[in-house]
Amino acid sequence: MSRPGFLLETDERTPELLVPAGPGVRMQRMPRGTEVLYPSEALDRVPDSLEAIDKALATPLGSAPLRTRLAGVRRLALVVTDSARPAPAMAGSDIRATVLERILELAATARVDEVTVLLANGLRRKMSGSELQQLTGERVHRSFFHDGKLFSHDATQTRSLTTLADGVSVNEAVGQADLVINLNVTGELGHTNGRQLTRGITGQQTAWAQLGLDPDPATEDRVLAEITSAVPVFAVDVVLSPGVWTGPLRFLSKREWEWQLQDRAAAAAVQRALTIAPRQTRRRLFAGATQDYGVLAVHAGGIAEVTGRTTELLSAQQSVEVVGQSDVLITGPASTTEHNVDAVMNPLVAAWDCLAHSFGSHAGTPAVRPGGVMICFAPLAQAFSARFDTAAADFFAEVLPETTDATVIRDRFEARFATDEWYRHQYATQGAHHGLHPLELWYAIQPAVRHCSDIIWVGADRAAAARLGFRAASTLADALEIASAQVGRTPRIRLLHTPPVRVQVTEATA
Amino acid sequence: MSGICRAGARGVTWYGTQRVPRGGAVLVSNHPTDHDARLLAGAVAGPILVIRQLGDRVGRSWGVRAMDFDHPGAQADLIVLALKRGLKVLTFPEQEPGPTLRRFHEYPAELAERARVPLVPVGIRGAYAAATDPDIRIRFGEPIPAGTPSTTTVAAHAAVMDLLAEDSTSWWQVQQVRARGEDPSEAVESGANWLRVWAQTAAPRLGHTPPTRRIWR
Amino acid sequence: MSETTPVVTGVRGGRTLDGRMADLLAGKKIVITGVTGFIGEQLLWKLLTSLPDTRAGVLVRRKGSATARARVIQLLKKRIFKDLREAAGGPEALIEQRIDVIEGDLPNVPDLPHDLDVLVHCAGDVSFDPPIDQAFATNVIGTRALMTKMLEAMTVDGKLAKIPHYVHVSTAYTAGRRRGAIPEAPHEHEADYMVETEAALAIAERIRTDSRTPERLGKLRREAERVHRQAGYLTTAKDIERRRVQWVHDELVRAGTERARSLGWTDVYTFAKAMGERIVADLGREIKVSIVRPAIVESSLVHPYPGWIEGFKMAEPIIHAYGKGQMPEFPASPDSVIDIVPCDHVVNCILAVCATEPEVGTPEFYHASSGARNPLTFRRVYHHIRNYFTEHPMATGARSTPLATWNWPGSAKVEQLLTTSERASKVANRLLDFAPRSRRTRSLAEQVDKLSSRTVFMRRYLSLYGEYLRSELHFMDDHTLALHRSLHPDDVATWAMDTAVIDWREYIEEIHTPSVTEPVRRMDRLRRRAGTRASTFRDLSKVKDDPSTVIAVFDLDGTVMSGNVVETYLWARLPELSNREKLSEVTALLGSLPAYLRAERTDRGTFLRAIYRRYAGADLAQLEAAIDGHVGRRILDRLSPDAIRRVREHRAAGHTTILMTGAIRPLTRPLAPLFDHIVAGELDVDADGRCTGFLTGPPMVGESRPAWLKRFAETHGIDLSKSYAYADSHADLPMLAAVGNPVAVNPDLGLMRAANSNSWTTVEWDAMAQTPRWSVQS
Repeated sequence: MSRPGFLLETDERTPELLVPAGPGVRMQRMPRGTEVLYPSEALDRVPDSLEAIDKALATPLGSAPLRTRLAGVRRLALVVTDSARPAPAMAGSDIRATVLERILELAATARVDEVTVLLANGLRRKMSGSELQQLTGERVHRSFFHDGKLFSHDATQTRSLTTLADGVSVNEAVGQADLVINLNVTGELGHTNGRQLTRGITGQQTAWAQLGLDPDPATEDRVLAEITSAVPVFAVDVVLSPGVWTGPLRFLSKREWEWQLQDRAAAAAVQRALTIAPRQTRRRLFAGATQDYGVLAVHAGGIAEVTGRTTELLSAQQSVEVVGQSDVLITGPASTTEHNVDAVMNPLVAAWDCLAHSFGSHAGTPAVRPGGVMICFAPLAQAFSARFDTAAADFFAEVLPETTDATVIRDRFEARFATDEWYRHQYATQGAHHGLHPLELWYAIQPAVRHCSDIIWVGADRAAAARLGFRAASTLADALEIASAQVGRTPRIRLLHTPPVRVQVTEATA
Repeated sequence: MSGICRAGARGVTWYGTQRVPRGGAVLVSNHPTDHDARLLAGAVAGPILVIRQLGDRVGRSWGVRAMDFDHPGAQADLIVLALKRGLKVLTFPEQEPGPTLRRFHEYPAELAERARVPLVPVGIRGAYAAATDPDIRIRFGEPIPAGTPSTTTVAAHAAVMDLLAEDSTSWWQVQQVRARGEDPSEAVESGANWLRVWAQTAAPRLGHTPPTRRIWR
Repeated sequence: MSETTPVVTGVRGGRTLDGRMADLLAGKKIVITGVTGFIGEQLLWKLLTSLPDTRAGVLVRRKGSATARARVIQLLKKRIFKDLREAAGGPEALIEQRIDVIEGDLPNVPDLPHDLDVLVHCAGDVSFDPPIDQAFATNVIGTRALMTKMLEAMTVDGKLAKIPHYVHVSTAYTAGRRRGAIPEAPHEHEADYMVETEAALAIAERIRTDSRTPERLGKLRREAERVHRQAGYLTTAKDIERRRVQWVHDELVRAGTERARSLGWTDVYTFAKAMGERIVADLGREIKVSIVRPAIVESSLVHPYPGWIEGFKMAEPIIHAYGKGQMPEFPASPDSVIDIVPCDHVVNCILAVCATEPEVGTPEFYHASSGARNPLTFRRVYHHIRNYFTEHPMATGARSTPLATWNWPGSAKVEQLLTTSERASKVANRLLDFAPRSRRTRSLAEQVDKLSSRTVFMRRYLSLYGEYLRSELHFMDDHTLALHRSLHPDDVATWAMDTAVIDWREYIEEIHTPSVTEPVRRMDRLRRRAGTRASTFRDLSKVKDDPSTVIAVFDLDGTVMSGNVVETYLWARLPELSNREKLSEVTALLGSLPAYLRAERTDRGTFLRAIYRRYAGADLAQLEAAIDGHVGRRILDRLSPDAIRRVREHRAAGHTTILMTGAIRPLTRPLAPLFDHIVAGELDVDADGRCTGFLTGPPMVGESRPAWLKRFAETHGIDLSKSYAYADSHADLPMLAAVGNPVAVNPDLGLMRAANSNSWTTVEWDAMAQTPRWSVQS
């Protein structure tokens, strides 16, 4: 039995609450009257995920059964979500392995000759061999990897891209396939089946047309239309419940007043370890940590139908209704985001998670009013993974000191990051993020920057906050003090409790 | 790597342990050597009962329960009760060790049908080699739901053959072979070859992987 | 004005003036030595300004490529000569009109002009603690040569055609360790200047020979090796020679000091000067001789302007140190008299003496001092200086340091303080040697260095001037007073030399201290405005050198990447071993580690060769494939983004980028796109492509790097003086010294000290490693 998401209003007796602050444990006492948004607990999982998969493949929505679709197919392309989702990784074996095996069994029965398994990383980093094995399972990995039939997408390799139309190029495995099965693992609205195709397996130009500054919303639809008209697509959505921490970090997934003695002890121990040796503790506890995910549903068939059903389900799972917008919105980054899987969280990613991801999880109306203030908890440590984040490190060190204005960045610097040979080399051969990746993150936070009058980071490295163009404060009280210039001394405060919740703002009645 | 393959004792890797169901199940495994039971120790959670055919030497030193598959006797009821309670039972339906995959006795399938628990096929490969640098791979397949013993025994035999073929070639190749209606048994080393292989010290290689050349000899 | 010592009239000795100064010296020619010095410069200026009818001759030596005349022109371009220059129409014209430049040196004195009337010998030592042979060479041999030449110039047909007046500028402290009232008369002692001179030269020769004995050289070599061994043999050799020269100098100074003290003088300077006075008296038996003995000469009271001074004298280092809060105590006795005399009084006295007519064969003595009638105690000086700094602190705001309050505990206590502080520094340095390399260690080391340099300064100061701080000498200046009193009333303003008129408060707080602190303040202002000293870590967008002549050299371990050869070896080796073999490999390595580390401290090449032996049997192609795979990922995790950025900046600027490392070439594969040339260790392979465990050539460390760079520069037309180098350890010192823009990156203490002393910039490049250093996860 799952419990719905709800709003808790704090009073004097409310104990310290868990505030998201990147990898770590931060307990904070909230001012009286703060609205804390708790997400709902997971909806019921399917009792048997295998059964759900088989059923979905046998009776898809808006399409013939997969068995029929596969008849006569010679070249099959399987597009699979990359390691970015879910983040943190799934404990135990990955659901993708199971689904792929089921699909491939059907493909074998249908006598499909050529199979390619393509990871839809888009402009995110490619995966290492061991990551691929983790995602697809040993059976699929050993069957296809060494033949070169299982690989990550390379958006810059022009000779392995097929042009479908003007400005639309896709990976040639997809472009030349007789059937494309798009396996999308999703747990949040926004990671739709279609989007995995338009951004995950397309060429650099095509993907960037949707990720650049203020993109035309029609582009995505156009690209998807081109793809679906060029190749038949069978969509499979595996909808996951929100992850639950296992092991020593179990307490992070429970509501604070339900903590047992061992949870309290664990919280205290982790906090103590973080003050003594922050970097080692984070590495030990959070790097490589996994969460337990359940399958809520498997939808298969036509893209539109599948997307519709998935959206419905996720809205029910994720949304929390609130009345009106607040003056102050408090949030923080999750411990791992899709942009720093297996890597340290750099300031750009932290900013993205708070200002693009959390801020943008709304049903049309942001949770904070225009001109309101966002307060984010994050250390903003100036740490960049040397292997994955070489472009982000340069962006932070060279571009941001010059300007934080997104338009100026686009005009002066975007071309350099798009074409730099070292970034391309690192992306193509060493598994680094694409050179345009930091710009993607930067543009994504612009709506929040434009919407809010001030963005304050609590407990953050001052230099890093200043570099990003924001302010820093040492405590929440100081931050509210700074914010009082914009929102007054008694603002309406809202806290987004982990994990991220989708806010549905309804109008105040009467 | 957890969930994909787990490390067991030195040189032993288990694949697909996530497929083993939670509750009671009867594991049916091929039987290359006398030490097969030890190899599976720890592979699955929970207690596991090993049953051997009378005369089979496997696990004798630990006091593994022996019974005659043709004349099971009263012990069978206890075993069925245990299975219903959630215990797992490991059996070697070939009844004695050997280098090839031979006929399966139907008794483990009967046990499974009586207790209404699934059969889990297990393929062991690489155990038939000298112990200098062992590379033993144990694969667990999809559980076969309880049904008439004859049908499920045939299905289990095919599944174990598939698992061994999967190890020596690749899973996809096995799927394709089966789709063509063929038996992947050709992929499994033939009996004559095995006897020659038995004298060698090199372990049978994992299929469909490029030859790993080491840096140092 | 002292109440206790009455002015004595009718004093014995000393001459007086009978007329106006300008008249008395009109038409005369005064030849001056030492015009490039402090007193001599003002002497020349005063002569030119206030004695318009007097001609000047200056004895100046060449310096480097500058002739004497060029040096005089440089001198005349100074500020005080401005009016004279303009009136004459330029420095050359001034020389034409008034100055006879004589090029020559002591003791090789050239022929002096026949028309000289007065010879003022003002030249002396540059330093207060000269080596013994130099002290005698200057003060005895040099003086003798000068006087001989002077007599020669005056002699015609074996007889003196004219009787010149020789004015010798000595020092009041030739009184040595006497006490009480020191009259203006020759000192009584039995030292024979010739004997002492010969002995001094002999001992100098002996010390020089001694410095080349194997025992001495061996000791010096061991000291040098302790510091520079890692940097290589040539660097060590250079340092040994430097130490030998330093040892010779120190021994010569010590020889002089001990001899002087054994005869009753404080140091060799005053001793040699006293010997000089004797030889002057001897050689001047047939001419007119006057000897002027100034006390401690400091800035001018009135002329050429209040506070005029050239360079820093005895009091200035203490004044500056006190003003910066760095002088917690002072070992002087608070009521000792510090006998200060303004420079213009000394100059006036000297020129007035030139205008007197002493008796032939009877040298006249004059003290230019203030202690007789206007004594200034140390306590009063401290009081006035403290007042000044309270009103005008040296640093304000955050950087201000509080002024110390002196309690005058006595020299023994101060000595104790110094010893304690020296011992503390030594202990701290020993501990820091073992501290891990980090920013904190470096800043601690810098603090310790600052403290110890202050202690060293105090020690040196006390050893130089210690005696003067405790002196109980009381210089009588009756002759000078009489001279002053005999000035024509119209001359008094210009030629005053009565030190009793000095208002010490005004002199110290308003004239002297502001004047000597101004240059320091100015430098501080400039430094603050321009940031710190010029950086060798230059902004490449502003560099205008031709890029084809510029290279940028990077070291690998610790600079571009945080890691070391042992780790990278283990990354390649361990994944192939079984668990048991892994354990034995790591244990074996750990067991040999102390030996390896010892090897690394002495000779990095030996250490590297030892590690590379373990590569024996490795297939090179497979090793490279592994590095393109999992080992390369580890390497990339350890790269420093700041370093990569800097490499790319150099590339973007068109410079040739070079990576120099003792690591083996395969390990540099992930970095290959960034560098135009990679100089690394080459593993020797046999016919099967397997490594033999040896290298094909010596590893590129220490001094082989600059050798390679020089050859590369020659063959590619590179200008090393415009090139850049980045390295992190003391062993890389030769490589850094070979280029014009060296930068120390996360340096160890040895390199940090070298960088500080050479004014190289230090930068911190963090490698935000995902895995910690020394992780050997498989």
